[in-house]
Amino acid sequence: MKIHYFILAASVALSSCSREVTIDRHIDKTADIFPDYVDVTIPCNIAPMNFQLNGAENIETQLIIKGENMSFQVEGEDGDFEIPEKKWRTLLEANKDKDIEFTVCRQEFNGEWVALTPFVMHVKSDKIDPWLAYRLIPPGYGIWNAMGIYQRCLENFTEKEILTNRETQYNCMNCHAFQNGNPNKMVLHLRGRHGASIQVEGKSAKKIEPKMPDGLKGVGYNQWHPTHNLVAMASYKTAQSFYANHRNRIEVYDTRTDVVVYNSDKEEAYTAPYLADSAKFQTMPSFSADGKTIYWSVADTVPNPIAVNYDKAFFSLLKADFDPETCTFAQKPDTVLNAETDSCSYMYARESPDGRWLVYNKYDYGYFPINHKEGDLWIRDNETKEVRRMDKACSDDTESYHTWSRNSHWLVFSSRRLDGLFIGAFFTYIDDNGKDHKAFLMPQKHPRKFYDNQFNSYNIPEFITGEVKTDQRMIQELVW
Amino acid sequence: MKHTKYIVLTILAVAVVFFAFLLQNTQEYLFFFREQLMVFYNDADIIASRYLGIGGLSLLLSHWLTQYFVLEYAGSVITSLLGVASAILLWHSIPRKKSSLLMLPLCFLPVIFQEDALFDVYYAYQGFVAYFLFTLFSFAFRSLQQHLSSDLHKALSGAALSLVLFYFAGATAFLFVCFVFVCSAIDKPRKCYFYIIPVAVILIAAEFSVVKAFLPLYRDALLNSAYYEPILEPTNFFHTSWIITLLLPLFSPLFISAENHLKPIIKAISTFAILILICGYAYFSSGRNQQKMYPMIAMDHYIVKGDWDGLLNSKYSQTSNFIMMNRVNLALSKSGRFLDDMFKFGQMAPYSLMTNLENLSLDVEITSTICEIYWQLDNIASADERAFNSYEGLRYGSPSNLKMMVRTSLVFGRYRQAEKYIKMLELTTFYKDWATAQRRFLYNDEAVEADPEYGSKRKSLPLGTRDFVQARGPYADLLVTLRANPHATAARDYAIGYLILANDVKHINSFTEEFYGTEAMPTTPLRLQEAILAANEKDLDFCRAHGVEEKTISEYQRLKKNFIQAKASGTDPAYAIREWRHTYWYFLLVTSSRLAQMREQMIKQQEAQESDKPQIGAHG
Repeated sequence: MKIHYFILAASVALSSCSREVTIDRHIDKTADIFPDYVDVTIPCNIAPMNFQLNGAENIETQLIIKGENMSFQVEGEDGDFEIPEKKWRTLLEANKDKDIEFTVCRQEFNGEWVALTPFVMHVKSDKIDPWLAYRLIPPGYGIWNAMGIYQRCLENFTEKEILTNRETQYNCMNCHAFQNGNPNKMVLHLRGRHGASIQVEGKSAKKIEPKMPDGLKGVGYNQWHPTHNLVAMASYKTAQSFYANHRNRIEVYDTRTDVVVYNSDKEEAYTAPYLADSAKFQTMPSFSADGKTIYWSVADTVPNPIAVNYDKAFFSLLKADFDPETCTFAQKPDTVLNAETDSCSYMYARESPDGRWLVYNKYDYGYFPINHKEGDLWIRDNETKEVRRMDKACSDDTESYHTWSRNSHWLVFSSRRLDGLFIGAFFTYIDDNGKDHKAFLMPQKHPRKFYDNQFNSYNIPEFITGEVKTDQRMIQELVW
Repeated sequence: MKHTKYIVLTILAVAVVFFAFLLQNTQEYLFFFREQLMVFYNDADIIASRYLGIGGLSLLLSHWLTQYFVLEYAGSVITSLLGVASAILLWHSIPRKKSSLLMLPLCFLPVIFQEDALFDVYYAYQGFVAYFLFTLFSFAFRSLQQHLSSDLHKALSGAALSLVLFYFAGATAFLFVCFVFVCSAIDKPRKCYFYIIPVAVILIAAEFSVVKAFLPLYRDALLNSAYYEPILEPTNFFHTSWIITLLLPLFSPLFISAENHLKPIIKAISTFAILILICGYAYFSSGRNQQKMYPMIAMDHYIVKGDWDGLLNSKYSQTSNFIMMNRVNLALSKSGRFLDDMFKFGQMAPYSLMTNLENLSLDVEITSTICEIYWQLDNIASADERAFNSYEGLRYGSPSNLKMMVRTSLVFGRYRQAEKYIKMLELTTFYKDWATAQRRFLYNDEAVEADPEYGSKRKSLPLGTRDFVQARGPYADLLVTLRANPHATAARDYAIGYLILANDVKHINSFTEEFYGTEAMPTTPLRLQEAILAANEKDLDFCRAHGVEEKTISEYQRLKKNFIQAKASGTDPAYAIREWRHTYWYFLLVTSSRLAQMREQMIKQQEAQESDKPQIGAHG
């Protein structure tokens, strides 16, 4: 008798899990969903793109997903659709370089099921790097408490700590960078109490102490050389001020900043006169894909007080030939993008791993695009020298820090478009012609709830090709 | 036996009332303050992300309880009940062959030291809750023992319980295993080696947790200081409660044998005598443990409640401490009495209005209510910055700061952020109604502008500027606000207050020239009249042309006469002009000059100390 009850209960449970509805009526209305995944381009190895139908609290909802030779339904809970991972994986596998269709249905008061206008996601066979590293930090102003560097598997919803400041008495940590996305090779900095620069190689770590030519102590904005044990860094002294009433909330500026290349084997820092010119601000260095060129941004220093004249700093994008064997620089730099003539600032130049494209930030003035609502991503074709705004990827709000995937087809970038303050990690597909596609927000199991409850920004999103397995305890012992 | 039951119940009832009374009298504002140092969200996802982990249950319980501290008496009553429950559970956990009544009051001793530890705001309420969980697990272990015959099984059950306690409450599990060991050593000395097993289990668990970075330090795995602010180093005082707990079982045989020789009535009287002694100790120690921060904490409670008269009438308002005077002046401004009554309080300098926060930027607990001052002065960007910083700096947030973030976001028209904060507040028990009421302003500029408070604040926002706040000093910010919104009375009064506390003659005149007769200042406030007169006593035409009344001029002349006469006759001029002690003139002639003298003396003392220091190399 008991077994009968069990079978009955199991079949009821199963049938409730796999409820399928029949559409009674179609209406011409686009589904208002969060995140906006309508018409986005996604990689074939991305985690389920769960979303929520806005305003569907206490309404019965159903999602019909259709791909080539495959279709299934997902029952919504208050409009929140959690797509089963296994089915999703199979669906993506079968629909590489095709579209998958999503039909959101809702039940009316009279019991009939109404289907909203279907939308599609474009699946690309170009895979995205499987992990993403980022710092989770409140978008605050100089005061913080808990923060940490985390990693997220983009193929599912696993998030793990790389290092949190719980281990280091709640100090500040920042500027994590990986060599070619290699999870076994990282640099990062800790600030304040237990402050140090750390280089992590696999399961070992060492303190690095770059001696700066100008005597400045703070270093950051790291970028690894693609082939050598070299890290381009800026040494800087930063300040920040708050707008009384402006679309941008805050302005961060350096009162001094120079660029160096740190050789971690020889434990020496190298620079050139034009990288450490006291009459200029030099910052945000990076290497080209072949490692034979260094990019950085530069502006003339502005008269004191900088807090008044900060908006007169326009950063041009420069480059110079670099020999990684001898750590020597060309005699003279070349201007890639001239801020003076364009009356704007250029920052964060990042060359794609295949060397074809250069993506950078363009914004009105000053130092940090991350605080500028007008900050956008632009792309430059290194062959034709053509530049253009990445319209599909950009929004009306801030777009800022970005990194390329190893196959040069995916770009992760930070954007404040969610609510104007808290930064989310977004991904855009760059096709063979350098054309960007509509970007999508990093998927979460229950995105609406997740991002509503999230009080941190995704800071410095960096693709990594695998999981970082740092020993937090080892780093703690190193810096205490 | 029957009498014993009544005696125990009487003791518990007395203890609950006594501790509730004592805590209410000594820690009332601390409970309110603790409630402001965290936000408890009734949300499964947030609870899972915040409280899953070692010690998570004790943190969850402490936060869940602390949210109720917003209610009058709740902090004292809850803490008293938890404390008394801990004591009775501890009493039952100590092994004995028969009832030991004399031990019962002694079991209050560790609880008293836990409550004393709570005087320090950096000792988390979690520590108190973790101690309660320790007594609960000790009691459970003692009860379980009665059903087990083998000592090995008993020890293994202790080990299992200790692991559960370690996960639920953290370091207090180490106290548990030590307590179990001590009790077994008293109870069955020959078999006590079995009880090394739970100790070993917890030491291994602690080692594992630290090595695997689940806990940062061994202190966090093994000591009561685990519940102290991680970036601070607690004193040994915080171990007292645990040490006494471990000593108590040692006294148990002594007390039991003493009781055997006592008549029931003598036993009862002795028990009450010990209880009275312990309560007496608790009473006197509470006074000793009072923190310097307490007056400021009390003021913050008045600010959170918006009880401005309460703040001004409290015993703490008579102070000259800058940080506390910031709060007093806020209360004066809120109650519309700032310029009239400012000199009834200990004004010393412009810092009395707004402390230089640069020096206090890390003391979030001290500055979390500063955002209210900026809000009052219509400096919305600064209020937003302070509120956000404080909310994030406090690790578990602050409801008042979150409310402020809603308000500033609404004024700026940053509705998506306001909505996010409102959603968060709607997850709380005591702030959700307020938050829901704010929804009517979302994406509704008209409603914001029509609201008396939000509308006025929005008018105070300067337009078309890239200027920063806090970049050129408080006075400059106040001028920006006043120019944007002539009806920003609080900003106007603070600007006047700032100038007269700084004795800034140049700007007193320029301010008067700019604003007198305008919408911002149709008439000249009396305090400013006094300042204009003092600054321009040789140019009475200027004074009269800028709103200084004849009555003020004649008062000033009378004061001057008294002052000069007192100086000439060698009497104390301050005494001679005491009639004007609440005016700017008295501040100028007496307070400022005394402050100047004090400053000179301090400089001389410092110089003397410097010259007394041995010179480097002088003996070489």
